[in-house]
Amino acid sequence: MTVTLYNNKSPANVLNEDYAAVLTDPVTATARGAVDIDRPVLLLNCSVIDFNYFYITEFGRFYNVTSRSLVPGGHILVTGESDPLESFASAVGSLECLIVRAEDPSMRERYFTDQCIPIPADPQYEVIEGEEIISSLSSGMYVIGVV
Amino acid sequence: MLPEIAEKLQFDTDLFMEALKERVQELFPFLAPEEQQNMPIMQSDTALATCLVRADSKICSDHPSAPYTQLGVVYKVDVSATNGIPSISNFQNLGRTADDGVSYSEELTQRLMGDINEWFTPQNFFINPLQSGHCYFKFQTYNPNMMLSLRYGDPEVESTQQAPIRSIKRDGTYIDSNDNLCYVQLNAVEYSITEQGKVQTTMDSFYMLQTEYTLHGLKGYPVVMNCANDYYINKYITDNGAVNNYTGTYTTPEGKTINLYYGDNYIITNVEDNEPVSYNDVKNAFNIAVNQINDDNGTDITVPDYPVPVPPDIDDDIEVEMDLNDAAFGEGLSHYYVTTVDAPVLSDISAAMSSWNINNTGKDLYRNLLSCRITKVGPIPSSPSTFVIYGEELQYNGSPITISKITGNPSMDLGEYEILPKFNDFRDYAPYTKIEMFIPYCGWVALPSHVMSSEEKPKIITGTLLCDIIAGTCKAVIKCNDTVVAEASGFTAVDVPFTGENVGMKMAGIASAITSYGNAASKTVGNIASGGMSGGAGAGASAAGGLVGLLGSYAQLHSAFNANYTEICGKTGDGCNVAGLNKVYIKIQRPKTGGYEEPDFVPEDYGHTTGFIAMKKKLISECEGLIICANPDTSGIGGATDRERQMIKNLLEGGIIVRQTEPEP
Repeated sequence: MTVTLYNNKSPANVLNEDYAAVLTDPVTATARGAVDIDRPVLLLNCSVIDFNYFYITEFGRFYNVTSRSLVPGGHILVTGESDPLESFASAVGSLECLIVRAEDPSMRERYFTDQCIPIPADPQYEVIEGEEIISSLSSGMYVIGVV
Repeated sequence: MLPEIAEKLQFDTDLFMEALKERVQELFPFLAPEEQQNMPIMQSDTALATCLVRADSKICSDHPSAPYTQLGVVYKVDVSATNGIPSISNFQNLGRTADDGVSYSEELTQRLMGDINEWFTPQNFFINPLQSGHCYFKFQTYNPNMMLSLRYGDPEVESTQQAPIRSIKRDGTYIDSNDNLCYVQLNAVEYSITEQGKVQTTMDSFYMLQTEYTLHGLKGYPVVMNCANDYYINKYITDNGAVNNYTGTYTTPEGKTINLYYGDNYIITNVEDNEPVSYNDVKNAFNIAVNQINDDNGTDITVPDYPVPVPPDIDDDIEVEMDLNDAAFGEGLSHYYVTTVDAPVLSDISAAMSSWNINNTGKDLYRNLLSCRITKVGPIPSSPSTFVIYGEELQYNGSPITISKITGNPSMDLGEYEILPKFNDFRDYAPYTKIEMFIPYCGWVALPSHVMSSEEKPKIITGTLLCDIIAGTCKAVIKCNDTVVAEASGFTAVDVPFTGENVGMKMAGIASAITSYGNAASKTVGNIASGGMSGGAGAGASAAGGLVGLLGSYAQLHSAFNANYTEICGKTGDGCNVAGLNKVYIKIQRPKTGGYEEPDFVPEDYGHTTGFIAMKKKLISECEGLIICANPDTSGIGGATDRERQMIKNLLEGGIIVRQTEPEP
């Protein structure tokens, strides 16, 4: 099996992760029995251990390294877990979804109530004072009805 | 000729009357007993007469078009007497007239005509042919176009003009086509067969007038067709104005001479002294019930139970001075004035008025009707002047009291206000932001938060305070961009009670009493001080009663007004409005934005860590940064296992960060 080793800086919930190849060429990996497509265990024909992400060409998937072991004879025994988000990045990118929350301010709906914004219990006040509407109030007036 | 006729037509009057009364009750059961005495009995002055009468059925009142329904049937009946027994014959239904303008269904017509026919069948309809020149009519009509005509003598010759019922006035007169004043014959309350000029209970010889002369034309001069008691027609006036005694006479068995006459014009004289008497006196003596047409076009006419009132002679020029501010009274009985006199208690104002030395009762009356209410409302749309009543200037503390007549209730502009947002987000609206407005006299009123202005939609808050000075109430209407968003009501005035009584109710009672009297007597204010005061001649019974009651209440009121007055104690609650809060205030309650130097509680990286509410549908590839999706549909991801799809869905719902990369060269 052909495995490309990467150093991935992004966490698993990133689409279009930032990863760089560790070696210029892919390495050969042999299976230790059956290889699970989701959680493969492979024996890599290399001694590079500084990687956290790899790509299995035959499976067409990216994997996060879950464990690495140095095996006598200079081989690396690696187990991984598939990263479907990156593996199907273009397909995921072409999904049209209802974006409930977004970081992009241009997508923000300002006037939907956002429960995540904390509201202090004690309010503040602003008072707008208007003009005096009745100027003759001080002296008062008497209404006299005549029948 | 006449004596021979009289001799021929003798019959048993008592028997006839008894039978007649029975027939009346049978024929017109809807009439009250006293009305039945005034039955429409057609009488002829000869043995042969023709009665033309239109029949109105009371059952017409059941018609949907009542009271305008009228059958309009004209009947013709010949009258004769055989052996002294009157009878009618040749009863003909001449059919409906064409001028009532109302059409009836065939069924209804048959029904109505059937009733009429039943009433006026020969065996039911008695006509007394014996009384000379006398004719009684009492009718009810629903049709103002009904014509009344009488025919005597020659059946083919109409004896009288047709008098349109609608033109007959209350006093029984009408103006004919030649503009002559004519009288409709009046019914006598007391039915009787009378010798001309004398009431009889037994039948004596009698005379009848020659019909062709008696009723010719009914033109121009009053003709009393029933002389009862002591009156009879004694003289006549020729066309050239000469007054002649009638030369035809008849001597009764008792030796009394009865004068008969003919001519167009008649003078009624008293049988005792032969002195002329006025027609009105005759009518009054008869206690005549008059058939009248109501102004409202022909409803039932009720018979008044007292003589037709004659308007009293009053001096309409008597005036009662009420020249406040030289301004004429407006409509209605109550007028309101406002004064800024510095008299803190009511008693001071009244004391100033009491210092007048006015002896005129009428003026005192009006003076004591003044009531006072304190209000703090202005400006009053009026022009001030000094307080002048009956030519005297009212003063307080030596200075004239300035008073202005209230010509209209003021409305005051509460100003314009714009409330600007602070957060530019949901926190500017309810329930996070609350807006209240204080309106003078009305207190606090909540405004909806949508009155908040914004750059996209500027909103201006305006208000108007509408005051009812007389009621002492006010109403504020608050608008936001011409849409009413709030209303509030309050009080602008404090009532000052007289000895604890409710001034408003007192004034209303006075105004009501005056109004009712005024309506009853149809008099001007001046007449109250003149003949109307005594409730004298000419005032109707109801008016006199009202005046008596009014005077009584005036007396009570006079004492009440002169009692010690209650000082103004002020009012709590709404009275705070009277204290002088005369500005509008808008109070806005908002969430705090933060602590020191008011940083917003929303951190700078709030979008990246939590994300803003978006609620937009978009391609994920077009987003940047944190996005959280709602229930994404991952069915379009080919090649992924079900587990992988679920993982993608969970990630999208939990939030992913979309990283936009530069396209590779």
